[in-house]
Amino acid sequence: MNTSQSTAIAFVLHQRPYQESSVILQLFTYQFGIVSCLVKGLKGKRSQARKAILQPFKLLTIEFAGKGELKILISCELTELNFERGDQSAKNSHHNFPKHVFLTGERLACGFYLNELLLRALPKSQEFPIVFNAYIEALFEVIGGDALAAALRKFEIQLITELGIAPDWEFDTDSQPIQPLKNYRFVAEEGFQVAENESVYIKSQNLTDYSMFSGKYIRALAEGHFTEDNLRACRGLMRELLRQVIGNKPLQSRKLWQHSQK
Amino acid sequence: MPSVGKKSAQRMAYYLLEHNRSGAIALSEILSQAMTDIGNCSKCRDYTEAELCSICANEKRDPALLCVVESPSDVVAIESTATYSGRYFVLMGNLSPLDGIGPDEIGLPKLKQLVEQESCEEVIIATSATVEGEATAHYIRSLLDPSINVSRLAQGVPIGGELGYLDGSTLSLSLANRQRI
Repeated sequence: MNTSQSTAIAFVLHQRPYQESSVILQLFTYQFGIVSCLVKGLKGKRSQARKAILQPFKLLTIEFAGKGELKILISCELTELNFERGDQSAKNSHHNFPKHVFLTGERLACGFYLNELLLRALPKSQEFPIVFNAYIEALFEVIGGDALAAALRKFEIQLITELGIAPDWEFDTDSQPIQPLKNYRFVAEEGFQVAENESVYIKSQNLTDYSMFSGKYIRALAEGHFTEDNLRACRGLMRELLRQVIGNKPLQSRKLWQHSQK
Repeated sequence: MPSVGKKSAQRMAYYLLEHNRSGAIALSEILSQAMTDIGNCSKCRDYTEAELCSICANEKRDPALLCVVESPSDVVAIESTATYSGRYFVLMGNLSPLDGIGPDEIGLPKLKQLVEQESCEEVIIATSATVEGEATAHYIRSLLDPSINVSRLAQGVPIGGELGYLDGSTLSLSLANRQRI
């Protein structure tokens, strides 16, 4: 067997043109994590079928070769794989990932957001099978579900857990249990710190501090209990947590998502 | 340079030096003139030497109909069909959040302003059939007043195409968007 040739289950996250008729794909594979792949000759009528397949949000089986960081795509085809969906009832726990997905509007913005998050957060060529499954899970919701925001939050939690940067959801920095009625501040690499004195001061001054979170929301996020009124707070908290991996540069797709919600 | 590799460029350079210096001088003058004089049309953003491009300046063109395309070559492609009598707006790109290209980079505020100024009745979005094209189309729809008709180019079976050779995505989309006859 040729050792430099590999097969993988993959999603295209991003495509950018390279030279005249080629493109460089950023793929998220089950087996190898994020992989950059060069596809030669993808312009013009003859490669129409390949172009249609190599779009985001399609589950593919790909073959690629190459020893360097940039691989060369050898073949690609749409895949029908059975996925066990963890949190569903037993009778519909197996789902085929839809072959032909056409996302529009808000759903598309969510899809872009997931892709951008993966590209920014995951290191290259390192496998993240659990994140891959979480991505599929989130895509199912983005394609056909109605709890988009909750699905994104669940995905984000699994992402930071797999990256090993999730805070302790149970205990604060003084090893005391996190209490629903207290306010906390997130400190990177340490966890949630009680911010009780500050919150009294802030309240007395009628200020709002976006980096302070109620213990109630921390618990909700950890347990995945999302309701209409806690989703907004959970989003703010999650953004604070994600800052550890994606830095301060804002995600572009977030802007699109915010607009599509108007 | 697109479609000219190192070898071809070398051949061209030697050919001009050996056989056609006057032609090369003329070419260089025309190129420098083009590079300094050609700007963007103040209405549709297409390339032009004048303030307005020939299509925007043409009184016979229907100002109530506006076609939004990605690049100047798309204008040429649609013009060559000779079936369209409205005006254009050239985005010079695609809404692509992952490349950092947002609404401002592709001139969408200007598009909104143009549609309001010219009191357009219909906007035809002719972006490519990619996720970025779809995002652009949706963004434009949400940007414009709901009273304006916004349509997108149909996607489906190409003329002369046999279904057996068509890719599954296009075929399933043509099935979903089938037309009553």
